[in-house]
Order: sequence, then structure tokens, then C-alpha cells
Amino acid sequence: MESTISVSKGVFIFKNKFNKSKQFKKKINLFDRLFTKEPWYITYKSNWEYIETEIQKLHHRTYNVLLNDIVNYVQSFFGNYNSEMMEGIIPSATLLTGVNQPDHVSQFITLVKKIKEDVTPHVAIVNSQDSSTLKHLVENAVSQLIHGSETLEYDEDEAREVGSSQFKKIKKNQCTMKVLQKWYNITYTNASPKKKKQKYTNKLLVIIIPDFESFNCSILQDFVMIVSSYTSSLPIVFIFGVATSISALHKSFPYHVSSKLLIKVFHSHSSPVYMNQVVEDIFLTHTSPFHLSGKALELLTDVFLFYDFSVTGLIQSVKYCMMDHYYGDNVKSLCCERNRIEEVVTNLSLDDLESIRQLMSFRPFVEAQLDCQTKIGLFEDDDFFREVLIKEMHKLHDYMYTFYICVRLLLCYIKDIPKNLLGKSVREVYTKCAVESVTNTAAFKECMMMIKFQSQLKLADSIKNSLKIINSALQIVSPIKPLRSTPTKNNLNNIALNDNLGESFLRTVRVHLLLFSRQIEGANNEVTASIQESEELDNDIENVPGNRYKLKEKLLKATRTDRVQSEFEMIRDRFVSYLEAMFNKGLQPPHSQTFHEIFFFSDVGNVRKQIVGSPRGAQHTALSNPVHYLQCSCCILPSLESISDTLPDVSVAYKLHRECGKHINLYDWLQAFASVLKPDDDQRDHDSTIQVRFTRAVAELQFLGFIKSSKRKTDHVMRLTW
Amino acid sequence: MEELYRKIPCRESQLNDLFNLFGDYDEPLPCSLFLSGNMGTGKTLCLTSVLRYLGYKHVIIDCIECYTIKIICETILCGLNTTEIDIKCESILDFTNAINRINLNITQYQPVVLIFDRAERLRSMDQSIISAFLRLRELCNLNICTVFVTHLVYDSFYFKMGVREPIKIYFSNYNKEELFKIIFLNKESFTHHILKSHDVDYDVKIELEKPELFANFLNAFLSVFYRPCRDLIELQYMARVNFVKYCEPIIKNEIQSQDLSKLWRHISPILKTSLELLYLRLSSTQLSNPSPGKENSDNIESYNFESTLKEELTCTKTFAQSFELPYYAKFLLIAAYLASYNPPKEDKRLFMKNHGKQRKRLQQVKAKAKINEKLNTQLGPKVFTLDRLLAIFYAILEEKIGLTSNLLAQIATLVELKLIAGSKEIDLDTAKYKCIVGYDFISAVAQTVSFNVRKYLYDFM
Repeated sequence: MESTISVSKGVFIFKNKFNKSKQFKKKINLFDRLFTKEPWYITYKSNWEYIETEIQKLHHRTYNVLLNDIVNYVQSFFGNYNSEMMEGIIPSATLLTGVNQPDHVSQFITLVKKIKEDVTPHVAIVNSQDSSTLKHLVENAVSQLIHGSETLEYDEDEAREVGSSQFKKIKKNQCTMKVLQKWYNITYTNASPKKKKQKYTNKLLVIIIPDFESFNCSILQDFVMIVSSYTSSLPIVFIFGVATSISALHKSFPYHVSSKLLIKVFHSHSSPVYMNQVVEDIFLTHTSPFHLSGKALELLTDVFLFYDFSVTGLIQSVKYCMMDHYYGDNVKSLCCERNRIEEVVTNLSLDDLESIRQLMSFRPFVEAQLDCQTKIGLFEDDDFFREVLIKEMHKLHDYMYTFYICVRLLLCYIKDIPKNLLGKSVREVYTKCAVESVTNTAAFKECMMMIKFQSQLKLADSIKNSLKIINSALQIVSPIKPLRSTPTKNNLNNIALNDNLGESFLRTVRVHLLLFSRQIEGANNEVTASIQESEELDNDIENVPGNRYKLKEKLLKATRTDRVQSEFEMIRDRFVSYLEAMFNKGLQPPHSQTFHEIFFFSDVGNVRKQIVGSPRGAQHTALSNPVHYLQCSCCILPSLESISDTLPDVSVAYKLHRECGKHINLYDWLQAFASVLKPDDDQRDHDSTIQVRFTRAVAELQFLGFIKSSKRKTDHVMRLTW
Repeated sequence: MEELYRKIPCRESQLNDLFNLFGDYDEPLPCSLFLSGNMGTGKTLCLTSVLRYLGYKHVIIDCIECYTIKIICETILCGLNTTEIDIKCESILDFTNAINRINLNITQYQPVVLIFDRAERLRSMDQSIISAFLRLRELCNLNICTVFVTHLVYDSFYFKMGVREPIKIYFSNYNKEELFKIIFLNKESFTHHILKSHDVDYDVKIELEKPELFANFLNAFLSVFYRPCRDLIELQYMARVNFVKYCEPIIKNEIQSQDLSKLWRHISPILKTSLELLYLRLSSTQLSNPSPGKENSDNIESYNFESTLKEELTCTKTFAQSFELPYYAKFLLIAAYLASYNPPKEDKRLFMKNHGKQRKRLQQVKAKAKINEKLNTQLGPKVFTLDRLLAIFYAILEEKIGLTSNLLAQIATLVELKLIAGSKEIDLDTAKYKCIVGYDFISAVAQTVSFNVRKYLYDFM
């Protein structure tokens, strides 16, 4: 960290990694060149690519319906455009996108792609930044409509290209609606009679305005009015992206403008829902190559929920975590798909093996080994260690497989329980389970209590749901395997979980659940019958007037005797205790596992510093405690408040200014400054070097935004922070 | 000409004026005309149909579109001279030269009319432009006339000295009978609209096509709608929507088309509810724009949209609750509201735990009584600084969180969403903001984070 001699550079607390992420985007070649040989980088890259494709797929799935709707809507104006109803009215789609703006970019890009494929090549996206005046807005839209299409048409249709060649060189400042109209007439209306094979004579012009709120209202109003006067000759469709709500459209458009629009509203997914989907389907599955520990996930979702609602931000944060996880550590190349483990383990160097031995979770594993020979073997014999490592890795994969399924199963049972003890989504349950052994918590026990009160129907329902989950999970593993196994009632009483986790565990759970569900469905409430009997008895008693005493006695007796459990209740109790045992097995927290460090990322503190940047905090530390960044021996302070002359000037000035009020007298400040630097010199304030140093420090503070000169008092400066 | 009068009813005097002014082919035109009147009073319609009838050469310029002088000039020249494609014209001087050149091509006394639609936009341009167009005749050798069409009266065009006064024609608003006549003219389109959307029997169709039925409906309709709304476009739209409902029982054979009282009883509640809808639509109306000649255009907006709009406008609460904001952003918004509606000197008392006792002096009590008449919450938001916003934010937030960049970015997001208004000029030292959402909205937002806003508002102390 030689480069941070200047204090102002202290802002870059994480210089190394910061650069890294930047380089990754810009100079991907350099980055590839540097690390291609490193196993960790290869693994990282393949894993990230995997995640990225998964995200793309999910993206596609979630947007698809919405986009199809919009495209269909836009397309519906294709044929009947010139019907009488449309006089002077612009059809427009309004897409309510939710508050987070950065996420919209990808949404609109896919939308544009889709429209270009399916409807028309003439699409313009006009951002508010590019259209500060009406002139810019019109020019932008028109030139995009004209030029954007030509690149597409170029290879498609040479002849038409000749026709429009005179518009090829249209400069941006020549783009007006008149030009657009002329161009459109030439390209379509005139060209169409000659070209019979052209399927559609007219193509729509689509103008997309993705950030409606940031536009200047009056400009947009004017734009709409202009376009509306052209609707008779140009088939234009608007698509507005509105972040807040439809009333924003109405607030900014007065009646005479909004009456020119035919508005149809489309709702996109709300971002929390989308975030849950991303997290559940991509990161919280056993197929994900990289796992976040409970705390790390909590941090990321907190950032999401509390600060920005940005899914893109969340994904980038996960990417950062991944980079941090893999960076420079060959051990982490073990964090890969299951079938590559053997290969990777054999490629590990001796140093790597040594660093694996130093992992925290290795020690309990060694201590658990009873045999002295194996203990020594683990440390001495590398080949033996490799074997053990492979075995443990497989075990860990099995564990993760079970863990995630169990999380989902647990959610399936507790989701409808009142009070929301363990959370309502997979990620909430996951954080609870990953932080501690969930079966020991009070919340879990309470949940199990609640299940004991559930009705027959409800219970059968949730078992069915959980079976669905298991079935789908098993089918992923072995798609061909037929669903068989008719459970017999014989082994009912010796339901016991065997030791191994993974697929086999799941299979046994499945069999057991099937059994239980059958029993619960079949179980009749025998108690109801007995109750009826007793009711009849009661009726007899009631029929005899005045026999109150007997009735009372009977009721007392009824409370005293234990209620006879019906068959269903018995099964239910057994089922709940089975659930407890099952979850106890399946939901061991990750940190109890050997070598969990390889798969689970848990360096929360480090990541927090970098994902949730706090510029003011960093500045404050830099100025009040320069050692933190400078790492020099001269500036070490006994306490944060103390001042010494070895500190950088700006730091001294900063510390002194913190002692003042709203207004700071410059002369007093200089005095204090001088007395710090030269405590025993009487003539210190006449020393020009000190004055110069002081002036410079003050200027730097002003530059950093801590003070500013005030007009009210000439020799004073104002503090801007509190 | 008779047909023209028939087509444009209730505008006889204006049409007469126009005919008299434009006169015969070989007479010189008036130098300039000024047509004013509210939107939807038939200004452009009259003008264009008269010119079309006379067969004069005319160019219509929509002034909204003309953000530069260049566009105006080029549009005019293109309109006058159809043979030449590439016309470049940067200024009025070029323009007069070019128009004189055109002069060579056309005969001396061929009348040319330039129409400036939405002429009020010209006011924001250079002063000299409108003056130049007012006396364009003197600048070129053409029998040319400029017509300004606007919804403003002439007095609100503040001209400098030396302007040649144009001849003014005023288009008054239609009264009830006139509105009836005009809407009645379009009855075919109304019945056509119904017939298109419903398939009806032949005899019912004949019933529906009877003009008496439509006249009856229109009478009923105007008796309800005439008071709140005089805008022809809006009335036509509402009539179209309601006529469908009026005819529904006839189509279903529930009510005979002759049974007027029954029909009236059927439609009057419907009209009343749609009257509410009209108010909602008009709530965003600014009668600031003429849209002349567009009487025949319909406003079609999907019902879905209308109902959601109605819901949102009538109930700020549901609207605010449906609003998704991150947790801290909600608190920031609440803090912004508190900062906007509390006097800064009361901050200490409102937000600090140990603020000490406030001594009540007689003067203060009196002052408070006075203030009560104009509560802060009713006076509109005050400006606050970023520092104050953050201080209040930390005071109302129970947990301790760092001042992170994400948090600061949220303020920018709120500004972008137009929940907080930022000051126009960017001043890094003292950024000033203003909260621009109302109390209902804030209390709904605060409810979602279970925060009591009233507790921290000075007005409710």
C-alpha cells in the first residue's frame, strides 16, 4: 500500500479488490491472462458462468409473460391502425416497473429485442438524460427510428436501402418530425407498391420512454402533442416505463394531453418477489456451486430490503462475495461440481493440502477420529489425506443436498402457522437454519407444537406438498427412476432414520411421508364417535329436569379423565416427533460440517465494508486516525482524540476543527494549530511555514467539504458537518 | 356554401366574418387575423373549411412543434413550394428572401394564407418573430395573410410597440342548445358505435337508429352534464360511453324504446356515477390548450385504466400502501415530511429525549392560537437542508445504522421518483429539498412501518 501516502487516497480502503472488480469488467483479457493458469480462477469462472446462465434463464421466465403481453398489445395496432377510432390518439402501453431504476435496464433491453424480432425494426429508447429540451427529445427519437432500423434492413433488403439512401446521411440536428414523415412515406408507402412480396406495408414506430418520472413534464407533454398531430400519417406507439404508479402519468399529463393517449397498464413483478425468486431458485439450491452462509445472505437481503430493492445490485454483491471467496486461494477450487472433485483433489499441490489442514473445521474432525493411526495419517500421508478429502467432499455435497431439501420441507410445514415464527420464505428459513441448529430453538419447538394442533385435512395437505417437493428433487437426481415402493404397514413401528444423508436419506423420508399421509388420510376420528355417545348420555341427563348435581359431577369426571386419543391424534403425535427427528438430522447448520469453509462464504465483515460503502465514515477514520490507512509507526496515537505533531497537517486541522462550534475563527484555529506543531515556541504564529501549512490544510478541508467560507463573518469559516 | 353552414352549426357569424374577410379571389387579403376562443369551439374547423371551400393556398403550422424558428420557416416554405425538397432556412431574413423567390413562380395575386395553430407558443420565442409575421405582407410581395389561432385573448400577447393590430374574431363557448345540435349531428357515429359492439336484431336496429331516441338520450344527458362540463370533446366522449348503457335495456328487450320515463329511470343513476368519473378526469384538466378542429376525435381509454385511476385518486391510502419502497427509504420520506412541515426551532423539542420543559409565556400561547388558524400541514412544505433531513432520520429510526452510500443514494432515488423535490441549482455545500407528498400519503406509509407521524408533528402537539 505504498500508493496511499496522501491522505486523500485513504478513501480507497479496499484498493486491491476494488481495482480487481473494475479490471474484471474492463480489461478482461489482462485478467484472463493473469489468472488462466490458476485453478481457483478456472473454477470461479465456470461457476460464475453457470450462475449467470441460470439467472438469464430465470430472467427469461419471469419477463416472458409480461413481454409477450406487451408485444401482443403493440402488435394489435398493426392491422386496424387506421380505423376511425384512432384519430389523433396515440396508443400507449404503460409498464409499471417498481421503484428500482437500475433493474429496469435489462427489462427494457429485452423488450426492445423482442419488439425488434416480432413487430418492427423501428424502436427508439429515449432516456431522460438525452432529452433535456424538446429539440433533443425529438431529434433523438427520430434519429433512432430512422437510423436504428437501417442497420437492420441493410443486409435484408438492398433495394429499399437505395430508396432511403438520401436519408442515410441525416444529421442529428436535421431530425424533425417532418423528416420522419417523409422518410416513412418513402420507405413504406411509396416502396410498397413496387415490392409485392413485402408482407406488411406498414411497420409500427415504437418509442420507449423507460424513466418517465425523470422527464421534464412540459417537454413530454409537448412531445405527446406533436406526435398526436402526426398519428394520421405515422403509426406511432408509446411505451412508458413508470416506476411509481399510474397516477404519476396523470399528475404530469393534463387532460388535454392524456386524452390523446390510449393507455393500457401492465404490471411487472414487484422486486421483492423477484428477489425471492432469484435467491431461492439460484443461490439456495444444492446445484449452486457457491453457497452463502446465513449471515452473509442476511446481509445481502438486508441491503436489498432496507436500502435499494435492486436485484441487479444483489446479484453483483453475490458476485463480489464469490470473487472474495475464490480470490487467490487454490483450495477453493474444490468448490466445484461433484463430478470434478477427484480431478481437482489430485491436482492440489502440497501447499494447498497444508492449508486445508489448517481450516478451522478440520480440527474437530481429527479429534473425532478414534484411531491414532488415522490421525497421524491425516497429517503425514498426503495420499491418504486426499482420499479422506474426496470422501468428505462427497459427504458435504450429500449434506447440502439434504439441507436445502429439508429447508424447503420445513417451510412447507410451517408456512401456514400463525405468528410467522421462522419466516415465510425459503431465504428466511434458510438464514435461521444456517446460523444455528434450528431444532434446538424455541421457535422451532413452538412450530412443532402448532403442528400438533393442525386438522387432519390440513396435515394431509402439507404432507402432500412436501412429497411433491421431494419427488421433484428426486427426479432431478434420477429422472428415469419410476416411483414405486408400496409401503407396508409392518415397518410402521420401526421408523428409524439411517445414518447416511443425501439421496438415500431423501428416499427414506419419502417412503415414511407416504406412509404417514396414507395413515392420516385413512385414520378416522374414533373419539368423535365416543363423544357422540356421551352426548347421548348427556341428553338423557338433560331430559331429567332438576338433575343438575349429576350433570355437574359428570362434567367434572370428564375433565379429570384423560381424553381418549383418536387414531388420528395418535398418528399426528407420532408424525410430529418423526418430523422433529428428521429435521434434527437434516438441518444441522453448515458450520458444524467438516470443511464447510470451502463451500460456504462467511466473511461477512469484510464484505459489509465493501458492499455497503460509507464514505463519510471512511473519511472520518482517515482524518482522525491516519494510522489506519497509512500504517506508519509515527502516527500511532494513544487515543482517538489526542493530537500529535507527527500527524499530517490536514488531520491536525480536522481534529482541531471538531472542537469548534458552527463558526470557526480562523485566527484561533491557526493559534491552536501552531501550538500543536510547535508547543514551546513563542513566536510560532509568525512562522510563515506554519502559516502556509495551515492554509494548505484548511484548503484541503474545504475541498473535502468540511468547511466553507462564510460571508457573514469575514475571518470565520462555517462548519458543514455536525 | 349552404352545406358548409349545415356542417358547422352555430358558427354562422364567424363563418360570415371569415367569408367577408377573405372575400373574392382577386381582392387583397387582410394583413393578419387573430382567432381566439376556448378549446373545442371550432376555430380551426371553421378556418380550414372556409379556406378549402375557397380553394386558397394555405399552410398550417402547429406551433408546439416549432421549437426553433428554422422549423417554422422550413415548414412554410415546404408547404408553399412542393417541388423543391431540400429547403434550408435559418432566419426570418432568409425566409423573406425565399418567399419572394417563390413569388416569381406564382401569380401576383394568388392568395396565400399561413395559419399558426396554438399561436400562444410563439410568445415564448423571440419577440420579433410574431411581429414579423404580423406584418409579413409588408416584407414580401405576396397577397399573403397570416392567421393566428389561439385560446388566449389578444391582450395576453404582450407586444412591443409598433405592431400592426390584427383583425380579431372571437369564438364564444357553445350553449346548451348548440351543444345539443352539434352532438346530434354525429348521431350516426354513435349508433354505429353501438351496432359494432353488439349484434342486434333487425327491428331493434331500426329502433336504435331512430333520431328521437338519441335526442331523448341527449336531452337527459345534457341535463346532467351541462352544468359541470362545457367541453365538447369531453361531452362527446361521455355521451358515447353512456349511450351504450342507455341502449342496453332496449337491446335486451327489457324496456321499450318508447317508454321514456322508464328509460330515464334506468339511465339517471348511471349518469350520476359517470358524472363522478367526469369530475375525476377533469381534476387533471387544465383548460390551457385549444385543440381546435379535433372535435371529431374520441378519447378512448380502457375501462380498466379508468377504474384503477378512480381507485387511486379516491383513496390515497390504498395508493400509498401499494407503493413499494425500501425500509429506510420509507423512513427517509417520513423524515423529509417532518422536516418540511415542522419549524426548525422545534426540532429539539420534538426529537430529543430530554428536551427540558418549555415555559409557556402568554405571548406564546397567543401566538399558538394564531398559528392554529394556519396549521403548518396546511401551509405547504418548507425547504430543508440535507443535514436536517439526516438528523431527523436518525432521530426517528430506532436502530443505529451507518451513514452509507446506499442511504445517500436513496435520497436521490426519492427525488427522482418525485416524492421529494430537490432544489434546482446543484449546490454541493447546502443541498436543499422539499417533501412534496401529502399527509394522507405519509400516514399510510408510516403505517406500513408502524410509525406514528402525528406524534412528531408540531401541529398536533
